[in-house]
Amino acid sequence: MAEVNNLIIGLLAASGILSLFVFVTGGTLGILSAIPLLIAIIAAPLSFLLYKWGYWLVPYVTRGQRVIQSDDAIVEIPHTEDVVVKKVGDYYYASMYVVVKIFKSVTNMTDEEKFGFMELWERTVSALKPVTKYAVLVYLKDLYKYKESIEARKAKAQMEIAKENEKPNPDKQRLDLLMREISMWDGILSRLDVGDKPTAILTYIQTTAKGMTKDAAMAAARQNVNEIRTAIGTALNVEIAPLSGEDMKRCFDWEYTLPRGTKGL
Amino acid sequence: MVELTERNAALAAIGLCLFATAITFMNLSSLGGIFGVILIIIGVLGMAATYVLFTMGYAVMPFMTSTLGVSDLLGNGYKIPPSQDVVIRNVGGIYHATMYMSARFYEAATSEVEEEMTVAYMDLWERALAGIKFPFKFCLISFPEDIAKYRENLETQRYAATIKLGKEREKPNPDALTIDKWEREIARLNAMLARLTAGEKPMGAVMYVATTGIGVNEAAAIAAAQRQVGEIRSTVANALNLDIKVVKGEDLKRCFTWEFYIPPDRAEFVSSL
Repeated sequence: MAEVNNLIIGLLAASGILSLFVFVTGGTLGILSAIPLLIAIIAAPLSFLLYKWGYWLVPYVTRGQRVIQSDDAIVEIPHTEDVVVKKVGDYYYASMYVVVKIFKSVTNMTDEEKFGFMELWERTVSALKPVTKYAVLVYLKDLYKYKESIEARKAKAQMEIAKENEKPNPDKQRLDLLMREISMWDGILSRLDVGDKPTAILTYIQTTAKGMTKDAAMAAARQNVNEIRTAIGTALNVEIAPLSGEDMKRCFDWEYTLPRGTKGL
Repeated sequence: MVELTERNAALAAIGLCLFATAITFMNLSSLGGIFGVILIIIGVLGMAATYVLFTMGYAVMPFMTSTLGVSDLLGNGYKIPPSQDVVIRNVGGIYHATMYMSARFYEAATSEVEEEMTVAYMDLWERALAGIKFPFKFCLISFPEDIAKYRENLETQRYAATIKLGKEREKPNPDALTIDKWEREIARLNAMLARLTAGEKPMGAVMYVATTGIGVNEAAAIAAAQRQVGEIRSTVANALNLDIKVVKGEDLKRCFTWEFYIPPDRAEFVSSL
């Protein structure tokens, strides 16, 4: 990359110097002046072409390389697993992800509440100084784990029915409740059997901070999280908590948002 | 020291090309007519090409990489094929293909539309999200706008609208519809300025949607992702009146890197766009 940057600066300098040379000599070299001018006219746009696509054009032209290697997706996750660190140039960028738990659906709000919520949301977001990303992630649950958990709950309800029936005076209301629960689990299982995919929704906020060292960037990111927590959490009455481990990875690693392995497919 | 940003590099290239072309023009007689004219044509084409690359590079790059068959390995198993419209990753023999789309809202929820519309919009938003049964992500990146510039821009717009309204009124047969249009525009700009005066801060936003398809090979995963993109476009775009377009090339790479980090300062973020 540094080599390409030097090349860009060299081309710009060559373009300027050659033009200046012809300007100073005033075209006294006659037709020979056309050569430095031609180089200057070609070098300037070429420098921008290299600035923009030099990272793949230079290896392609010099070595015929058709596969370009870069490190855009290489990040470091410290042992705390609540932050993602990436070094870009001389700076470290630390990103943190916080989950936003909204307990009230808009369908349960009155019209005034909805409008008020929206207005508060816009005002709160516009008051935040750092660049912030808000995301709604609809992800697939692991079908087998999900099915297993539903079946386990169904079995538990069936066992409770059996226990209740064994009693000398079974509680009819409780039995009815348990029967309803079983039919609910059956409904979910039958939907899964016909191919419905179990999905979940995760609303999260991503904030990034920059620092000269890794620790400085991480500390600044934590400070941003506190600011977001205070501003958004208080204004919208929602619960905000930092994400870590697998939940955090789900925000940027597609491996965690999709069922893994051939079974899932 | 001036930082070598994309904008600065483009300006430097165009400026130097213009300088060289101007000198050619000045020395046209000594260069010999035909050579000078050819150089001027090359110079003008060079400037135009630089401008096109700067403003529309996102559209040119996929064409070039597809033609030359260049693919990009991003590390950690992520790969961008020559078509530059999808990110592919192989996870244990299963291919994940992620496509990104830009989403454009035409109105803020609270500034210009009626309360009923905002309320209906929220209902539609929740229903649209719940209706999609495959993994996707809707992202909104917000950044604070420069208040001084924003205010100046609004005031300029209001001034222009006031002049146009005045001109329409001075006509012998003024058009009532045009007058109404400019009056509404002025009222809207006045309301926005009043909000700024009340202490509200202007905010810029960038929105994009990502979805991932899975398959046993690259082609199957890409096909699944493309099908999902079509579904999102028809479901979300129609329900919310959004303009959704698939992003390619540099924009795709930008969306991908935003998953890991976003430039934290406004200036850095805006210059990266």
